[in-house]
Amino acid sequence: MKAAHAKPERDLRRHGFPMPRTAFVLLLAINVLAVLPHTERVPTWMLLAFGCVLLWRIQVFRERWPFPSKWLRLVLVLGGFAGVIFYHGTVFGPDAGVGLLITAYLFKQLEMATRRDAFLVVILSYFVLATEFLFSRSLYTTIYVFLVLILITATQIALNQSEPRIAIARPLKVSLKLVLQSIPLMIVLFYLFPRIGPLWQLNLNTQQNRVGLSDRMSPGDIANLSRSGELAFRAEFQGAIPPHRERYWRATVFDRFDGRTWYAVDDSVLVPLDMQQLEYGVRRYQYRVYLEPTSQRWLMTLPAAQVSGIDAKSTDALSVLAQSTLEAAVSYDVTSFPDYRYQRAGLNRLDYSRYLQLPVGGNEQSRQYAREQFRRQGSDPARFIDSLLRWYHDEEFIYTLNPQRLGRNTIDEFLFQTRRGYCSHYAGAFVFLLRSVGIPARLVGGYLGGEGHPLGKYLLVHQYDAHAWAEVWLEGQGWVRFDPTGAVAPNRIEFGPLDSTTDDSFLRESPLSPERLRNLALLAQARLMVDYVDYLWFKNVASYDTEAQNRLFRDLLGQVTPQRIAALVGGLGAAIVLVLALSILLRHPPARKLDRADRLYLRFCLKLQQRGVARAAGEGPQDFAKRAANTLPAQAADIEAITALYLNLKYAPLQKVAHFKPQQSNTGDTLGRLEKELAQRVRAFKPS
Amino acid sequence: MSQPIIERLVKAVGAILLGKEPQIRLAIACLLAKGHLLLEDLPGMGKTTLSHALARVLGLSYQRIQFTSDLLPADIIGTSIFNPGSSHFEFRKGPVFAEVLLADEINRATPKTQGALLEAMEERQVTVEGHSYALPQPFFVIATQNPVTQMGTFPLPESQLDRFLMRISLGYPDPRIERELLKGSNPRDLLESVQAVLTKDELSTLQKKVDAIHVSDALLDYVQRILAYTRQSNQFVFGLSPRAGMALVKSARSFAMVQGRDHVIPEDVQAVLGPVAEHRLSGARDITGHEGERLVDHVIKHVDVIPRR
Repeated sequence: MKAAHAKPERDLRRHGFPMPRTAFVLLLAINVLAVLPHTERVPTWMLLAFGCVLLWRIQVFRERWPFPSKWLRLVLVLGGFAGVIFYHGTVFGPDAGVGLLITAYLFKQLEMATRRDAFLVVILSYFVLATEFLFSRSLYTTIYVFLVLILITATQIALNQSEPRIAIARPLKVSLKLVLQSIPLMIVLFYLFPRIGPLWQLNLNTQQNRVGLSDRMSPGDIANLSRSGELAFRAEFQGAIPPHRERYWRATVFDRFDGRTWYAVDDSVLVPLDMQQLEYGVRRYQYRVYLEPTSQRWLMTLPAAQVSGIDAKSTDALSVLAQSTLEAAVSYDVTSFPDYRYQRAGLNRLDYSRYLQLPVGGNEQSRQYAREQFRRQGSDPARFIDSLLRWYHDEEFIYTLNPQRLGRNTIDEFLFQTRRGYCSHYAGAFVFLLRSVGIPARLVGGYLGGEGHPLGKYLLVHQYDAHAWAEVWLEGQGWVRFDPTGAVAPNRIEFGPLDSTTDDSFLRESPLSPERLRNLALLAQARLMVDYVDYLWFKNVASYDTEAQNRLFRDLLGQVTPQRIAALVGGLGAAIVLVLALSILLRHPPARKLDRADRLYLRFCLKLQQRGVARAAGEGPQDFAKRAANTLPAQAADIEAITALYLNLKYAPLQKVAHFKPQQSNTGDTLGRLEKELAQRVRAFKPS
Repeated sequence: MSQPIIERLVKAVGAILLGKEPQIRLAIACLLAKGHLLLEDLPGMGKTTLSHALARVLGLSYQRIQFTSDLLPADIIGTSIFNPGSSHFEFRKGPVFAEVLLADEINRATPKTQGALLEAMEERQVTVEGHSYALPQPFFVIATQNPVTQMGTFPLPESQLDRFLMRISLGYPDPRIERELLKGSNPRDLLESVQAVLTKDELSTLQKKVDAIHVSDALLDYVQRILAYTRQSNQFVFGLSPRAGMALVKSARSFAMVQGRDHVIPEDVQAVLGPVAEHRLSGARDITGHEGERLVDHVIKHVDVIPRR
């Protein structure tokens, strides 16, 4: 009859251990949330598989379906691994690694039979979640990871509950408390824990489709870039911010032209900057650049630049190269000298020929035009350049992001037929014309401008600020910058790309781009605020690396020795523990001091205990006295007297106590006397 | 002064129900604390005998209702009957209008009928058709019930169990007493010979005296430690309520008086803790509602009488 009411026994092998419902719901939630940020990086079939596995898991929980058989699981896991490896073509690199991890994570759900398995899945969730930091370290990622972290911890707590149904709020509350408590320690560890170099080098070259300058430039490339509102870098200035027309952020130099595409000068052929040929000039700008990952080695600077705070090389082309391609955000300090002169003394032969390179044949009309024009200007480079710029200005050239497509002879078609182009068209054609009359020139790629931020002294440089201009080597002057775009659209130089095109082509491809909504004042302000928070995060947290840590240690310790670092970390850890201990102590003040009668009575109990009569915790004094008197009949009188005294002191009304010693009128005094008597008796009490 | 009376009470009841002095003392303590009493045991253990004996010894008018599954609320409270003489409806008072009401096998009646009785116990008055009728003073309910694991019963819910100050089980008599029982005549026959020991005035004086029994701070500390323990330990679904705490102190006072003391000591609390708390506690894995006993032992064992810190 009893059995009829009981639920049928759960078959552990088929349906797993009886997990609390709350824990199960939380577990499903964290499965989804841990994998969510990776969705772009894993093959689509894996997301489908993920959905199926979750469905299966739910059915198992509802005891509708059993766990899959061992063989099916084996096939699924091996198939999953093979699929990931096939998809990425490698087992190395973070993408493939995360893919394999997620596969294992996914199929572990299908054998979550015991509580231990469930804990393993929870631990794996932490791990899968943490791998997101391999790809992004932004503030928003961190906030997301933090929130999911609370959920994962809550799952772990919920799994430990024995009741089948608990309110979801309870584990969440405990988890939130735990995570919040761990924050101070986390901060200390983040800033101070010695950063040991990785034991293995993780190849973070993820070949993502990053938006940004490329090492080759065809007509229209920069125009494409100009449609992106993404941030390229921030520059935080000490002192004056240069005016817009001086904000020529240099990335690299393009020296080779094949008739259609310009190629960036190869990193390997670049020799270090010749310091002897460099004159600094008077003015200088000091700033720090926070550069978003580019997958290139170029560090954006205003020439001529001295870079510190990062391992970098200043090159002959006045560009600065990092040691390796930048797959994560970096920051570095720069001192720039805007009035520099370089290579006034002359170019070496190799450079001379490099900056005069032209493809054999093609664009004949342009070459012809250049030669005629040069002759007409008396073969004077300065006057020739002047005439070219005036030509750009006077003729019907249009500055647009939507130039027509150009055919084989790009320069000819641009200069004499379409006359519609963007900066790369104007600068490219300009360099071509100069080179065809034997004047060394090169195309420079980078960014022009940057948006000032009202809250901080820093500039925001976006991808749409990408720009190309020309540099010409002139006898006696060295390299001189000319920006042919300025001759066509002066606004581009003075104010930036917004509204400087002569048609509405700017940013036409992203209708939701914040740049479009710039005119709404409130929105613009919100956008800048968001960026400011992002900037602070990046400046203070995401860009904190070994270098920054060393700086911090130097500031804090003076001389950096392992002992001092250990002392600092240990000291701070101790301080945190001390604060926690104090707060616990203050929140739970120690219980009232033990009453004197209690103390005496406990001593009496101790004496009896030594004789083998121990009082149990829940044994009342009277019961204990009876038992003790039975065991030690010789002391029965003493035991009863002491117990009676104690009971009267503790439990009897005051009148009764007074009655106990009738000669005392003052009850307080009586209590004292009683206590004294108890003390004497307890002291004298010697059970044998 | 009050002590001889109480001892006489105990003796008089003890003459009928042999060998159950501790339970008799608890039952008397319960009634002196103005509490209702629930006697729970298997049939034939002397529940009815004890309740009869108590009623007679206290010298109060008493009524007995045998609860059955078809008993209706009106059978307890009374009904309005049309009087042809006065051509009015007259209220005929039911058995509940007695000073001592013996509700035999209370768990055999339907919840509706149980509810009517338990409401009367709480309010100490009965309302029928808009008229309130006060119940006599004093008013005690001594209910008996069989353990709920027996078939065909309606177990009382926790909220209604709470109306009873104490729940007492009698248990099997020890062999020596049982032999005497087997030799002698049926105790129920002796009931007739029992004389009232108290007058109504004496009873109300005794009840007033309960409140004068001294409870020291040290004792309240102990009671609070017990309450806190039931609330914090994971052995219980829920801890003891403040009302249960008040019932505990009141019962301990009354029991101390029955024991002839003018102040309460921890042993009094321990003695009444079972009867007072068992039916109000249920264990974390308790299905039958009868784990209270084991839990109370657990509480007594683990809560220190003397503060350690």
